[in-house]
Amino acid sequence: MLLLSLGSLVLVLGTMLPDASRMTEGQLLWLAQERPVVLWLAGVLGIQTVVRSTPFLLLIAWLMVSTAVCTGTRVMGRLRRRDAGAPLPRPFTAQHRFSAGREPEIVSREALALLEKRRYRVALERAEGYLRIAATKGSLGFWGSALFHASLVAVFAGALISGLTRFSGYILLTEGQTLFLDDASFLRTPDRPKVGGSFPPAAVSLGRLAPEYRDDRYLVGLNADVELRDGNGELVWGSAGVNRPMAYQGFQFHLERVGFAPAFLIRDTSGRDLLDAYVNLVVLREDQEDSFRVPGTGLVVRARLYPDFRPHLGFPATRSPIPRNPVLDLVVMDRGRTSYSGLAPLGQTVHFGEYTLAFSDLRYWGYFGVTRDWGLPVVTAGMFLAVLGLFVRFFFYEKSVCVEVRRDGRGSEVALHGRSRYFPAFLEEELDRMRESLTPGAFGSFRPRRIRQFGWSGFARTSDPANPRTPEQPNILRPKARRV
Amino acid sequence: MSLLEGIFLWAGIGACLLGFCAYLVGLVFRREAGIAAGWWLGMVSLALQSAAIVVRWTASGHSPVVGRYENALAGTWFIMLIFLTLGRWVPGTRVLGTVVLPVVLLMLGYGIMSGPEAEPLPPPWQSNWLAVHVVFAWLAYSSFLLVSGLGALYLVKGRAEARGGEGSLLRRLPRCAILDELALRMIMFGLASHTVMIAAGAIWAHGLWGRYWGWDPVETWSLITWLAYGITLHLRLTLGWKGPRAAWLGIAAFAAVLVTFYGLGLVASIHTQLL
Repeated sequence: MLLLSLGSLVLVLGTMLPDASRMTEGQLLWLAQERPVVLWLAGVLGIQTVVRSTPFLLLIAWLMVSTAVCTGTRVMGRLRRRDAGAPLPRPFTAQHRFSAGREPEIVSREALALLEKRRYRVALERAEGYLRIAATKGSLGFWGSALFHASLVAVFAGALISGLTRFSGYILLTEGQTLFLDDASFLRTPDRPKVGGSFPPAAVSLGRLAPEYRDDRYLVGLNADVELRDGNGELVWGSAGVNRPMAYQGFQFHLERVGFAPAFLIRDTSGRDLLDAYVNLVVLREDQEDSFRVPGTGLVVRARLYPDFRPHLGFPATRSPIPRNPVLDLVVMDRGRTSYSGLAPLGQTVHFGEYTLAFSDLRYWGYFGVTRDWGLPVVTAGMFLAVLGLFVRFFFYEKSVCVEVRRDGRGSEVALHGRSRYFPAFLEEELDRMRESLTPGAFGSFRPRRIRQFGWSGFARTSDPANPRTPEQPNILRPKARRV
Repeated sequence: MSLLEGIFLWAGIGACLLGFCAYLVGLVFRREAGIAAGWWLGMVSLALQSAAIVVRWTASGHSPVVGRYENALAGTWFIMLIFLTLGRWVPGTRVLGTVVLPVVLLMLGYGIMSGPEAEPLPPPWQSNWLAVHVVFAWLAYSSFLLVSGLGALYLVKGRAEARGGEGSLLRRLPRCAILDELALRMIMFGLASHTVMIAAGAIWAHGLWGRYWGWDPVETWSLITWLAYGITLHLRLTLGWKGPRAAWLGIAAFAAVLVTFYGLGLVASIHTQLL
């Protein structure tokens, strides 16, 4: 409990601080200048730092061991008690004693029918002028709880396997581009697994990338044709999309983001190519633009793409995100001075100073995640079992009822006892209803659908008077456990 | 929003509003009939809201899970469903409608103000796990809302009992012990649903982002909520907490749900910017 509380507190604190790993360089710079203490705290106690720290991992390990030990102890104790036939002597939580002015046979039958209707497991014991019905239900609840806790251990173990074997990296591919996958081709240094190999040598190509739109406005589909050629030259191709990953030798390729990549051809007056490349534009918001430097020159190009160009109120705008009429809004700076500012439709060349710039083609780029996680099946199985355990725990909870019927003159005396560890008030109400049903004139709406047809002597078949604890009798309902 | 959907929705809101008024009449003038009328109007409201959901589902081609309006529509439907189921099971809890109905009205109002235009399902949402994730999230959150409501009722009734002056309406409530055990059952159900929600979300996240857990603020707070109710359950079952402190615990734990659902819309999270 203490561990859980401590873990929760650490997580709450961690999420209250800014997450440096999700911040842009500008935001980080601002934070460093304006709120250096917050930045320092985020570095020390931020969620991404905390969850990778040794104390947190030790806490998780401790929690795992503690859960495993507690669950094991409880299960072993339960099994030992069951084998020894020695239940925990817990007191009854509710009891009633009343006179039912009817024959004990009738009262017993009705009590039995009531309990069976409520799906109790019943066992009978008879002595001279005395009958006892011991009824229990919900013993599965304990096993639900045990399964849930054991599953948590499986989830922890799966997370540990993930931590040791997980591979994760990102690649950026433009349509038609082929990339030989090694560590250098990943955008960031990939998370290498401590156990298990890294990504096998392979060449990956991006074929067609096709976003689908509805009503020229809503993105409804995003899939990319990917081709992989492994070290032996074998070709694997498939489709990697958002939510539809492509599998390759235990790795998963999934598409995360897409964008436009216009082809720029910049030449000087001598006809020398200064830049002939597709440039991946990242920013597509109307109030921002991308900029890039042309290598070997003092040129800086600021570009904003309008995929479906149509002027609106005299300003450039786009009708849709579909590239039907792509136009670049360009500003070219030459050593800090604006040398060109204007629009460049697809296929057109603009001239400025001693240079020419051609917008010759437009393609898509895709940002792919490449991951592998051997812990996933274990975690998934653990989570499924945990869910199963919790629902079993919810639907089954242990309760036991003992009905004792004694002959009392012409009628009978009935004693109702019940025990429920977690829901005693509900059981009390149940016993109240049962009492009402068994009391003359208060039979109420209850009409047992099936009353077992046997006589008073019939009870003797299920009980051995010489040995009152017969195998079918639940041993948790011993009279000595009763506290009246 | 189509005309038919609008008719059903506004009729449902009207029934909910009338139900709330009936509850108020019942409480202020101590009329049992007010509570009963509020309960039945709640039923009518749920039926009309169900019709609105069906119309929208048919028109948009996907379950109502996109955007604030659809979330409010689906969420309030689940809250009403769980409240009415609980009221059917334990009639004494029907007075909870005094809290539940205005919450439903506020949530629906917030959703409508956020724009009820139907949009197609974007690619990140196109997963079979989405339905499981959302349905169980609402089952869990609705249960937790009722846990806090039951906790509040427990405290009010307990205080009145201690003063020895229960009003006629409070007397109609179930015993404090029953309210306490109901809250415990709702916590168990909520926690199980919350676990399904997290599990479904994790599997979905693996297909979408290549990892099942990334300590994103939404994920972390959903875990914190799970831990909060897990701790509450352990305190009740293992350490035997019950009574006022357990009721307060149930109310306090709901803060985690509020932060997870509403608070985190304000921070940068991969969940709020799926693409």
